[in-house]
Amino acid sequence: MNGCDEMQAGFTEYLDGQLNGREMQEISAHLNACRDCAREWDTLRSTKMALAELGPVPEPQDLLLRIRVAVSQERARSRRKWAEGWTLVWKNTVGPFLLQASAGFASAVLLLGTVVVLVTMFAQPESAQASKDEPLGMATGPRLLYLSSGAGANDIETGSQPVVVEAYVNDEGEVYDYRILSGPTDAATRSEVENLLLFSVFEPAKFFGQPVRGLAVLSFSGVSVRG
Amino acid sequence: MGNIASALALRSEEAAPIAELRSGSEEAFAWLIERYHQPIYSLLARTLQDRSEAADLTQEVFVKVFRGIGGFHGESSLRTWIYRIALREASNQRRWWMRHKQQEVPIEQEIAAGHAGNRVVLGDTLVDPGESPFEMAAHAETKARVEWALNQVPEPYRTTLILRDIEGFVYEEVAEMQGVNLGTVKSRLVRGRAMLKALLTAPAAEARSLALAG
Repeated sequence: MNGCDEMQAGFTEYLDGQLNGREMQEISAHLNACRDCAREWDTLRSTKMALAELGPVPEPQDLLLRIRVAVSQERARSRRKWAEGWTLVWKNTVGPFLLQASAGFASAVLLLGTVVVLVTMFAQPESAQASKDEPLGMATGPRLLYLSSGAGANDIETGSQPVVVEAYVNDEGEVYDYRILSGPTDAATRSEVENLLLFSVFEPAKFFGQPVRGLAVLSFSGVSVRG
Repeated sequence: MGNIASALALRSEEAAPIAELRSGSEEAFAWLIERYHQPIYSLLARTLQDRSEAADLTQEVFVKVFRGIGGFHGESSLRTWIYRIALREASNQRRWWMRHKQQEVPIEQEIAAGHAGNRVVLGDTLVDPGESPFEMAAHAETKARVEWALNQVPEPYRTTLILRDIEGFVYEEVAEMQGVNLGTVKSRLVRGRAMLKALLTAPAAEARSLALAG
């Protein structure tokens, strides 16, 4: 009986493939010889199989949808929190913002939906020499690459009034602050502008290939070229 | 041997989705939800008393996964991490239940909503001592009986049985998910299987008293 107890103690691991070859052989040999243990083993094995047969619990029909909605709501909540962090970022990064004085600024006209980038400027890094002879071709302003699908479409519902926005772009291509230059400045418009800018992806301004802070003036629902 | 191979396979399969999830990709999250919502719901439905609670909790698990993915650095597999969150939520829920809803849950309470008129009690079915539990389980109506028996197995044994025998995770992963060592997993399996077997093979009256005692 003692030997059987020992054998049966190993049944669980035997069942789960956790034993080494020698141990497995021992048990297997014993099972061939001992009817009681063989019956015990068989019951254990079929108990496990009975469980495996159960399969998944049928899920409620709307479960998948509910989960997706919950995650979307959470995503929206975290975006709003991100926007609240802007004022802090603005105070910390505005700093000295050197613009190349000489020849105006590199201008780019980009039409994306109804967004037009009117003007872009770049900030010369403090380490570089300020030189009036620096050819503008060596420097580029931030380039709007795309507006990723965030909330809302590319258009801003401003009625007939276009909105012109000055967006400050850091050296990683992220908008870190903005100013509405013209157009409505009510809360709804600001909120839509913020949403759009949150998901704007820029290629940062470059000064001799080095990413620098820059500025882009964007016009929504209107076409203008300046520069 | 097989364990290491499958663990490696899981890691490489998860590498790209993890990167995309951390960058907030909506498609990656849709994939995650699609892939794990059913097994997580299944686990929660069996470990909690209430199916609608399980649905709510499943939702909560994915919200927590979304919130926490930024802090996930691959210390475990993605799958283990998700299950850990689910198990933690379930255990919090059970603790809340015990604190606030002290009333007894009667043994005959139906767990499966679909079996309302179909109360399967062990003594009612013809128990042929020569027929193994597996043969009995092969019959569709006895699935309800196995489900009932599983529900009578107390925690943490029940969850251990679910993770090992229904989900098929290896000992190491079960240990990681439950936050215990391998020895504990093994002993929980031994005891859980013994309880389940006793519930399935004993005649009705004995089964009821076993369940009450457990």
